[in-house]
Amino acid sequence: MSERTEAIEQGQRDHHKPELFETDTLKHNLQTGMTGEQEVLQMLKGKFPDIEDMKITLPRRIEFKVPAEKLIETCNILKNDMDYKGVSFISGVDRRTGFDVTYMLFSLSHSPVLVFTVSLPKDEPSIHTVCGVWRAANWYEREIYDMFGINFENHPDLRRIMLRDDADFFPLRKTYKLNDKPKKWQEECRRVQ
Amino acid sequence: MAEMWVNMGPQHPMTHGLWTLKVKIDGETITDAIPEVGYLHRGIEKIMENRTFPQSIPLADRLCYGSAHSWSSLYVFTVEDLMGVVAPERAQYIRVITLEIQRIINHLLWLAAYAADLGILTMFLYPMRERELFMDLMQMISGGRLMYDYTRIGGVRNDTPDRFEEETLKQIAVLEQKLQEYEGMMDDNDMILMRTMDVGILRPDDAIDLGVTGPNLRASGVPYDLRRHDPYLVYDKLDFAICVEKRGDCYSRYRVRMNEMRESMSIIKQALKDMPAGPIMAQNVPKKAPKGSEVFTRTADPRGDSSIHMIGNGTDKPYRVDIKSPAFINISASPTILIGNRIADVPSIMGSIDVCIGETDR
Amino acid sequence: MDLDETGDATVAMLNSEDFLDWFDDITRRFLKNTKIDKAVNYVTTDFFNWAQRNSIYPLHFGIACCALESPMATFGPRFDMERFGVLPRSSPRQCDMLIVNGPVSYKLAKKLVTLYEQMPEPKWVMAMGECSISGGPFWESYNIIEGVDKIMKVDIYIAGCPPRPEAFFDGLFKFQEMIRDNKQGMFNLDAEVEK
Repeated sequence: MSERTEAIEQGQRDHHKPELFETDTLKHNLQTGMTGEQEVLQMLKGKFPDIEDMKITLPRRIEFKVPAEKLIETCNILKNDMDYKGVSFISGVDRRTGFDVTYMLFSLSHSPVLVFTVSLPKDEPSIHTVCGVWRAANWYEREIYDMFGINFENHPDLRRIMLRDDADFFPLRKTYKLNDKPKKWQEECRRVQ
Repeated sequence: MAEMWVNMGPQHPMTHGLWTLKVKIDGETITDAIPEVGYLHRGIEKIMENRTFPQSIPLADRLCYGSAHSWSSLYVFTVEDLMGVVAPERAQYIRVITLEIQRIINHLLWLAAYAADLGILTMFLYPMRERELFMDLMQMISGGRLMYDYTRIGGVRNDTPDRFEEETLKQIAVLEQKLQEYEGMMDDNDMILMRTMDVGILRPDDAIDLGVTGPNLRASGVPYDLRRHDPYLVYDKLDFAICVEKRGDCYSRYRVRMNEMRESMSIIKQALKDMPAGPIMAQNVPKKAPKGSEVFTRTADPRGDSSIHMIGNGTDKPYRVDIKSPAFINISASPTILIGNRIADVPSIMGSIDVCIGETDR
Repeated sequence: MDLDETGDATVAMLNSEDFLDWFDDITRRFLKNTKIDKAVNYVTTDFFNWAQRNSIYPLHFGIACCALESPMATFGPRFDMERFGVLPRSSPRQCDMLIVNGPVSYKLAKKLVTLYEQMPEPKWVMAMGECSISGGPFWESYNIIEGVDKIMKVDIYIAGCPPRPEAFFDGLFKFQEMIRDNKQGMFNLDAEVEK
């Protein structure tokens, strides 16, 4: 790293007031190098002996499956003991035989991201919310509810986010065909003119 | 004093696009806020499931109009990961150069819009003028002004044109000079400092918990940049600093973006110097994705960490594309930033977190 | 005619609506019979028309990609649409042109119509870009209306995805010609009587 970049990272800029946050600990973690995939995989195997198919798929990606009833327990361990403080995304998949909800977590001290999947049944899919663990989950779960109709129990504000409140379909389900525009809305548009 | 709800949007000079912010105010202090999005929901994910892989590249471009190229690149990187294709080295260098030009275009656009939010219209005109220079560079290499459709699965569409390096270095020299001018207008302006200093503070622990990424996270003092911590392309061979500020307020978010433009210019210069000769497209790019393949790709968008989750099922169409945009989660974090501030500071705060509704609503 | 509160029939007054009707009628008859309307038109039409077509105020309303080209880049220094008197305003009450510069979703439709209704007459609608003309690349989507002309009357279409600023100006000049040909700004008594 050159002198110039070091000087910038030290924050030598003309700030008019003293700094608010002390961030040396975070900075230390990142600059001394993050934990690699293998170490994190060993740590995970130590924490979760029940989970078998835990593997490194690509560089800096660790994937595994979690049963639905153990979700909150797993998330709490990952956040508090493993330092996975942030959720990168939550995504839903319609597998035709059922639904998958995939969580991706990132950490400031471990280099790999964790991707774990929870499988849900086809009829009335429902899962406990993780809003209590990471606040970022709120809107992701609302979006999955909007697109797939998966119910999140104990969610603080489970409403439609993208579509209108009077929508009666879940567009990203495989049973919903493209160009199948809702008749009710189309008629409403004709009325406006 | 009685509390009341104030509705801002979808048509409001503050919003920069179509979204609604409902703020609850007690006197002038904000006590609660509810953002509403979805006015621009186009169902891009559903359309992509019904298009072949190359057909979706222009759609990915139209995800975000501020930084179109970074989204089509992310889409292409995901497909490459899915198919196991690696682009040749020259193509990777060209991608780095165009991505950094796109970052500069995006930040200049942000600066122009933010200055207009804060009330100096002159400052709107200057970054827009320099943005045109960089859009000319992108036009030179790809032909488009705003939408480029430039990356291809396995490489890039065409090689850099003649005089591209020369022109790029010329425009960079112009911008380096002009950045000082902007700083003179912004940092020496007491009005700007009053409206940005200590306004809209986001604490680092809140930022991580709320999923805020990119310049907004770095402005809160967390040096986390995917180009360094989850490197893609040839970023691990290039020397650049992670721009961090420690105040977490609107002023820090402005400083981070100004410094990032400088870093981007330095990256472009290094990449132009190191760029090897060679092919720009990989050989034998498959048309179909393997059955059961599933990838999660992340890149550092100018607004934060964007990611795509893609599943292939053995056909030439993806089974599922899930696009996660940084602006989406930054908007969801806005109540935490807004509460406790004055209602007059809403444009200042929401302008500083750089909202793009195209990628939020998809 | 109303009686006042005391019930005395001696003071009779017009309410404001009656007064306006009465005054309208009187001036109309006066202008028509004395042929002053023709004289006024002869003197002022060209001037009003020139003023109208050279001071088009569009609404500062960005929907999607084209918003970066039409209000932003064209307002910027290189293209500078203020040369032609085009200046975006933030309130629909001050505007006479609605630029629809992106796909219109079903969620947005009602709000867009509200904005249009808030604008004072005379007003025009410009459909800019493929999305607002026909739905563009998203026409198949479940949430997109296939063109803004499904919900309101459109006066001018500009093709492109997104149209370049030059295309926007081309459309603008054609639109100015349209205002001139329509004799916008003429003092037309008969039309108002029909209405």
